[in-house]
Amino acid sequence: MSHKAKEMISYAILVSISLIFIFPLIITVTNSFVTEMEIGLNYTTKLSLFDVLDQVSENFISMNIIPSQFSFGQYKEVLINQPSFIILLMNSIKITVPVVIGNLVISLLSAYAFTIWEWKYKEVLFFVYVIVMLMPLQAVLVPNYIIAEQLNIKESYLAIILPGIFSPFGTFLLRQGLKNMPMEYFEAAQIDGANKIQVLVYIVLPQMKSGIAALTMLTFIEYWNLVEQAIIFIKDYYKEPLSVFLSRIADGNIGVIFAASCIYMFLPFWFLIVGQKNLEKGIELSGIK
Amino acid sequence: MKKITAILLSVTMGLTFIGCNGQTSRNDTGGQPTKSQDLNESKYAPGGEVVGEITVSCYDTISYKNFLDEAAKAFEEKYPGTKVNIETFSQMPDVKSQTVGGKTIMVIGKGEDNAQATDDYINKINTELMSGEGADIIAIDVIPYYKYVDSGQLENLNSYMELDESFQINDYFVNIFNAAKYKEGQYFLPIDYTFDYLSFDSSLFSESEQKPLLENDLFSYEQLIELGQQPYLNVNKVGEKDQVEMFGIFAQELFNKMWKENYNQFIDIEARTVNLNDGDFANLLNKVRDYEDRGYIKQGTKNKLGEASMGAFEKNKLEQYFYKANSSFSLLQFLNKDSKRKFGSTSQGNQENDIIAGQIEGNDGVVPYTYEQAYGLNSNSTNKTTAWAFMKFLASEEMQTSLNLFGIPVNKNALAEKTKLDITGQLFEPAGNELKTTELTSEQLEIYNNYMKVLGELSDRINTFFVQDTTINSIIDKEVENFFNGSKTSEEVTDILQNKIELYLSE
Amino acid sequence: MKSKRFDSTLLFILPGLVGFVIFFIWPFIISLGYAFVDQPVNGVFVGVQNFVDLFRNKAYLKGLMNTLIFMSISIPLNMFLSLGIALLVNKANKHKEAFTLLFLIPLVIPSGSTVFFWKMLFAYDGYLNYILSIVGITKINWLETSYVLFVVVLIFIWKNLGYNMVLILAGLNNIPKEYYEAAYVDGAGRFQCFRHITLINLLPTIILVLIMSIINSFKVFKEIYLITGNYPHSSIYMLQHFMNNMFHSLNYQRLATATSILVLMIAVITQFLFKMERKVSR
Repeated sequence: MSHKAKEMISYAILVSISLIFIFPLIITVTNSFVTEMEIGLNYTTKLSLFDVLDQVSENFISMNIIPSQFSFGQYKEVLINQPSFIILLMNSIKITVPVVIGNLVISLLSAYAFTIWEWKYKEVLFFVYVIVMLMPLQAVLVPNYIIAEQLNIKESYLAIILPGIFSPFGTFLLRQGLKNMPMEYFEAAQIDGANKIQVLVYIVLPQMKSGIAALTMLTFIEYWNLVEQAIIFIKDYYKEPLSVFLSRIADGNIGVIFAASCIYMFLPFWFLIVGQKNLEKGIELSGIK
Repeated sequence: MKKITAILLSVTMGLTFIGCNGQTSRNDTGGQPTKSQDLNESKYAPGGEVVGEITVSCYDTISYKNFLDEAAKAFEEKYPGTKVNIETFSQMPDVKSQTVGGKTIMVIGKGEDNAQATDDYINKINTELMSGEGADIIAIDVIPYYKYVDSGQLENLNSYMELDESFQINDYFVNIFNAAKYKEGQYFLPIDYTFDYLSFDSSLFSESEQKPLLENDLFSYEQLIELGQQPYLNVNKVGEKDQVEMFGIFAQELFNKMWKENYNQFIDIEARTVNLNDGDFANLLNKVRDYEDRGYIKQGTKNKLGEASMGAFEKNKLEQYFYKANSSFSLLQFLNKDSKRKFGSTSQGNQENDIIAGQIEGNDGVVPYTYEQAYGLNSNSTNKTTAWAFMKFLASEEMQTSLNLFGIPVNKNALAEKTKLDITGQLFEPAGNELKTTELTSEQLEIYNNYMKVLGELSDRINTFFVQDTTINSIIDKEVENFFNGSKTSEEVTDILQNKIELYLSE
Repeated sequence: MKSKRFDSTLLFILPGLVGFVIFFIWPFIISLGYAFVDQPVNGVFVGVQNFVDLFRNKAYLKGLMNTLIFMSISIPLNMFLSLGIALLVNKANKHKEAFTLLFLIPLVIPSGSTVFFWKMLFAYDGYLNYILSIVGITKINWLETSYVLFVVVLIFIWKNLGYNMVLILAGLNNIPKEYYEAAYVDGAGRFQCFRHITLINLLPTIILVLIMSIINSFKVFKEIYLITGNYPHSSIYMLQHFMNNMFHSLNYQRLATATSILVLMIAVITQFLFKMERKVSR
């Protein structure tokens, strides 16, 4: 009984904290079904003619959770009237997917190597991996540009994708996870005559399931939201990712901001839900074989 | 662990050493200068061949893009073997559907002035420039140009203008160029200019009251208000609702104009000092509020009732004001009542009885101007000869008569030509494709002579281009709004501004 | 035999290492090089002059101070909250995935619309002041007074809690179940289990989270700028503002100098954390 009560309390805490977290989401989703005109009225402190007649002197921004008039107008505007939106969405996918896959493979190999490597200075090298990750973005934009110039990839997605693939964060994350793995696992496998690739696939991979899930999730989100690099490397606006477009929307086109955000969020959500399950299942299967 | 620290340190030292080597090896073409400032003083090398590819970069405003496209085409024709790329900042066109009379139409427009996009553009330009690359010519539009000068990214054009024999300085309004100098260097070339001139409504002043306005050329806002006090009392009856205002603008707009007239008193960018808290700035704020309370200017704030309807526009056209600060755009229209030119400041109210008084001056006789278009030469450019040739071309008679250049041409010959075309109406409806001046009728000639005389007088008084900083201006704009909407006192506002701008300039 | 084994490990690290050197080490070196020259293009070696100038710069010192204050409030707070919530979520048998997703929402919403949301909430005429005015409290200028620090900490935690939680959950799942079973057999209590198994084994993850929190405390400023502008209230003028503005002013050498000092400082902290990790795991 007391066990159940405890569980109830922890649920209550979780639910109430979650509510704070999803409040912006709720606003975004419900407001995406509001007409553009209502948004114009709600999100402004300008007094309308009616306010002046009613002698209202102050006007607050109002956030309505329930729209006073349900409408698909914003979605229609975004999806049908602005075909460029779909192009930008595709661009986002073209940048994000290669980074997620490439980074996962590279990080997995490197993290594994760091775990089993018997080199005297591997901790120093690992430390360098972590330190370099600490560089703030502004500081590396110029060098990145110089390197992209030298490699002649300045005006292609490669200038964004390649640094993403080799980002040290994945190596760091997966290696920290592998530290929990008892060394005996590797030794036992080696005695059984498994080679290193077999150990990686059959022993390490299943163990790293949640680490890999976390890594893909976070990488996906990070590159889905990427803005700065895209601004510098991409010149043609039909090649820009959607994130760049959306980062500017708050200033002007607020009438469609909510619907645009909802569409933009849909893919990461789908990825988080469906993608994760399949990924985990895939890893489990590979472990059983 | 100590060992690791030691290794790390030596690695870092080693890396930095390599880094420095990489640094110096990239600029070993210029010999071994002792101070990099000297490198910026590169001189114009005459006799270079105008050939090859250059790039011009601008933030995509309509005026720049159209003008540059036109110029690039003409330039490529004039100098075979050249190619001019116009790079504007990529921004998604804003496609909007509107339902008009049951039909859905698509409206394609460039996004409005978007702070985020401007920021993005500057980031992009800076990355390119700091990597030692970037466009050969950079439009001085949204960029804080003095910072580019301070970090050595813009070429000093002094020697170009002196040594290039094909550039005849006397063809231009030299005071416009000189006023644009920063630390004695000509780091950018304004290719047109605009300024405000002052007019008053003669029907509201008695003859004796008009006298001081007609006799002098330069006035400060304070002087104008003083001269207007008596006429104001004569015209307006106490307690009546619709009063005739002295200026047809809101408090914050007037304040903006007034503090900018005295820019150098408050902010000195060259010396990196700011002086807002000695009381003058706060006094100015209170003074403008006092004007508002007395009914000298429009009441309320512009933000709250954004009237943009045709009705409001028509009504405004009939409105009378004592004074008007008109943009130079409308000067010709002002002197030529049946001009075919339809743009200009028609929203300024009733102009029927207006007489030009002169200009508004700031402290120490400062008469400022601004430009619509100006260009700087990237000091990293690998083809400076062609880039300079293109800049010259932009200031040449050929391009200066273009309709896409909105301001007054800096080229005197072009100004004469363009004015004639404007008066005959050909500028807007060219006979055939060629722009050719037909003979002016005696009436037209009179207008022409009058315009050139008035414009010449007004232009000659210009002596300053404020080295302004859009960041500082927007900090002030934002904060001052808090004063005029009543949420902060003038002391609070000046204190906050002093701190913020001091911090900004000390960075 | 031995050399052959060495080679095969090298094959695993090599692809990553090559890319890492090209895209991370090399930019890092280039960037550090700028700290010793007087201007970004055609600069001349000036020794440590940039470092001397930087420590005399009022704006830098202010930014550094504010950043330290901000970090010392937000990082521990965020750490405890995310650890607590991760433990709660991990215990919840039902809807575990749903809760995980919920806390990831702040990461997924595009920054443009979050910025819009926070602006509307905290503006002087915003929704929060509207609620306050109903209750009868006078309007508070959230973004222009020292209250803004709380707003920033709130946004930081809102944005990063999910990130940390995912990392911690992954760490919790990595702890082999056998450890708990063994402890249970030995008759260990719940608290002992938590202290001696959960916390100890979570240590590598906690260190990861701490380091990532430091990094993310810089990243969140994208939102902060967009809400409060480049020159916000002086209590939230951070190092990141300074660096961003340096970038805008083309003062790359000063930016590089500030960065190298920052990296040195964080390197010392990281070193300390790794040292601690090794000591505990031994």
